[in-house]
Amino acid sequence: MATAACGSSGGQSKAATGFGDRSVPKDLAADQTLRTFSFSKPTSFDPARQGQETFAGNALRRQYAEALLKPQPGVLKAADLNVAGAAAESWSVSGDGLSYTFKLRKNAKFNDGQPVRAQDFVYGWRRLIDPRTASPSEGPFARSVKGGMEAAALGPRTDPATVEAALDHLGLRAVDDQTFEVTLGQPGSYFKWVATLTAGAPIRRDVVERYGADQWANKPETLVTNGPFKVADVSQTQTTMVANPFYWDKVGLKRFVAGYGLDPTPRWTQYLNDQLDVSNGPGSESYKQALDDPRFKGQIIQYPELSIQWMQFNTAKPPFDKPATREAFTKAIDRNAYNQVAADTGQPFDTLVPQGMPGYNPGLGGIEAFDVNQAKALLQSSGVSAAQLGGLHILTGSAQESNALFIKDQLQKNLGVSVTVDSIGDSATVNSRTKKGDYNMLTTFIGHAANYPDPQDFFDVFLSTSPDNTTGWKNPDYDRLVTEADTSTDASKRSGLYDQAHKLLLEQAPVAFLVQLRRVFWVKPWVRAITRTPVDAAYMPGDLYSKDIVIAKH
Amino acid sequence: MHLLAGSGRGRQIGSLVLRRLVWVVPILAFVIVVTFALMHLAPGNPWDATAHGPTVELSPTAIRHLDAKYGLNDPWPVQLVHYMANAARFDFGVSYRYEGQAVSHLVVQSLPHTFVLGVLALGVILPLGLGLGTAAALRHNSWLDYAVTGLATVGASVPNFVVGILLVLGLSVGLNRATGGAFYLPAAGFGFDSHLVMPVITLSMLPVAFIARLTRSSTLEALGRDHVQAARAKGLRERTVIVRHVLKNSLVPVVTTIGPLVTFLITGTIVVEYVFQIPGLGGTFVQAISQRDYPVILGATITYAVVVVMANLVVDIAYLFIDPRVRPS
Repeated sequence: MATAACGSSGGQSKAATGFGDRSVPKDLAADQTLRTFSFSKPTSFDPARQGQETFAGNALRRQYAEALLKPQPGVLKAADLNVAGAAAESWSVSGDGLSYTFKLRKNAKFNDGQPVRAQDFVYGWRRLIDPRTASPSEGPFARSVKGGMEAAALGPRTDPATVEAALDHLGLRAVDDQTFEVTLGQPGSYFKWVATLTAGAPIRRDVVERYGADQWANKPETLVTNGPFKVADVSQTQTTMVANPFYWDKVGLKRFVAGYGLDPTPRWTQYLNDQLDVSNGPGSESYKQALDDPRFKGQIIQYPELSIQWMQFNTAKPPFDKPATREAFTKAIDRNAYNQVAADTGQPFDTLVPQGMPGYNPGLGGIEAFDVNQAKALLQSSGVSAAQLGGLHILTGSAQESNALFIKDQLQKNLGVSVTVDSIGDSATVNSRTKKGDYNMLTTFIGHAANYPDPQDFFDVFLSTSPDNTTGWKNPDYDRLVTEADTSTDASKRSGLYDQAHKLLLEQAPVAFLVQLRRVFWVKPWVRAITRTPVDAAYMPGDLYSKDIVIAKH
Repeated sequence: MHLLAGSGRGRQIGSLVLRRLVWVVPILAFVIVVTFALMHLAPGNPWDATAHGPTVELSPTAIRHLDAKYGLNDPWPVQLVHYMANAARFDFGVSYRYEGQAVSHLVVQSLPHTFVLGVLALGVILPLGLGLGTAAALRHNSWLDYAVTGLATVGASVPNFVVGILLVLGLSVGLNRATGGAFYLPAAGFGFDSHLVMPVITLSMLPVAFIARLTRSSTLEALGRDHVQAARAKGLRERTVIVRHVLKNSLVPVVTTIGPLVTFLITGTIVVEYVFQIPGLGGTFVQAISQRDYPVILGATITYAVVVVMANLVVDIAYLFIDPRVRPS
């Protein structure tokens, strides 16, 4: 597999600058089509049925559905990023931070020409929070909207009238056709980012009721949405979207095609054959070679992704029920060396919040930092017996096997602990063992990837109520600090609380933070006017503003 | 006599088909029970986030709603009986992952791609395998014989995913570079054109090698038989001897392998579809397994079972025509 033998320190030093000429060209190609990829055929095109905002395959909805707001164009540092208007042209917050009022654009329209109304947002958000929808994206909405948690918690045996009553109580209101008002349960300055999530796009009640909640999004003809593009064709190999003629703004690009495929190799061949405009590179073996290949000069764009890779401990089982053991193990892993082993990762990292984001705190880096002597001392002091350290397992998906093997090596070398790697190809098995607590340590590809650049998105992962927290670690102090920070309207107080929670998390070490990942794309030189943001999707740099992309004559 | 024999064979075919069709029901029921048990025994459930990216876990309440919606709270035997009852009415349910999409729709959508691949491959495998094997046997110990045996050995020992990748490197990337983009074969996707060349070669390689070797040895065996010597001694033309007395006999073991060959092609298409990103039933099946999309797993398995049963039926009918021992007297 990929190879430490290459000896290079990874690609990040190379080709980072100079992403070719991406200016708007004089001569345009006759066919303004962008050919990119998504990892798989979306399981549903219903905005409420798709999950993580920036994951390829889900994130196609950014093209055909538009939220109230969207991240500003062209600001590359997440800490400087703000929101800009999308379906809403302006918005305001009440003095107590509890009420948000969005003024919709008068010319915002669905792809059937009907105007986008505040009622469509009320219906869309209500449907998203409705527990019967079972949406993977309900979390941020249910947590922030008043009454959301209560409604979302109603089980399947609840009678429909009770569910409807709970939904009627949600803090959602169409003041008039153009004014959408959201009342929060508690103040939350991160809420403006929730308003950028395309899961919260407006949904047409008449369409859903006419074609059926499970069916309306399955056919392009009935998929009535409000994005710059509309889905024109869903085949077994690709999704084709075309410019939405009713979109409120100019859409330069005529067609947006996303071919499916998990395996990068065929995609890479298509890129080499000029059948694809964007690729995320060849398989891991030839990855570094392709980064250095002069043929691709000016085609490679790479930047730190707002996502962190970690290894988690099963804190419910000895010996990792003791914080000192966990800390000893986290300090026994050389992150620099680890980063070189994993071919497509980014930079060594040992805190929760990615560099570039608000909440990033390198000052806390010492707590989990690599230090063999301290690691040994901590393991000594933890009082864990040799017997308890025998027979430990690292559970891993087979795609991350080399990473797990490297960690096994480090633990052997630095702590004298010998562990076994359980590499499993079937992700459902890995998942099920994780949830049952049938593991000691677990490596995954991504611990968490930002839905939006607010620290709340990262800190909430480790709340004891979070479904994403599968470590078994529950800490009331952490819960209290994070909840208080999430709901604080005072920026400096808020960041102080997150820092405290951050420190506590690192000391308690339910996970060992390892690297901040990088995105690397190969983009054909004729793809111009790419407008990037720090929260672009994993299939296309500048996907939030792909309507502005132009294809130069080639 | 002739007429009688003909109608006797017709009757025999009729009763064979009838007997086989009666057996289809218990066979499918057995396949369903085994598949049902295996997939429910496999760890994980349909609502888990898959490993294809950052995981998004559903809330516990959402999972309870989905379980209730699809009846997953019922005991397995109840679920199984429900499924069987619906399947008997040709209702194979809806996918858990592709919301609202009928399993029959997903299967029908992907099956043609696999079917085209399989039929084309059979069209390559049978003539090529039989031709090469017969030619090698008739020119025993000649350069042709050695070439065929050599090719067959290579073909039988290189796994199809390796063949596929080598073909992509040579005929797609290599040709593209060599001709400056003027001519090359597409590396991925499906279409009724050059898209099919590499997948069909990949799928056919091993079976061609296998059939060629089998035909060669059975032809050699038949050539040495007494009745062939006798036919020659009677002064029959060599052509007549070969066609009527050698080939007809040497075909018997080859026909026997067509049943297993179809099974082999089914597993082969799963790999080939992955390598060439062909949206066929194999891809649907593998994805359904990794996502624990139970109804789709069952639907695909039933489809495969039907194909295998039908292929074996065809083989049995073919026997009636070529093997004198099963012919009516």
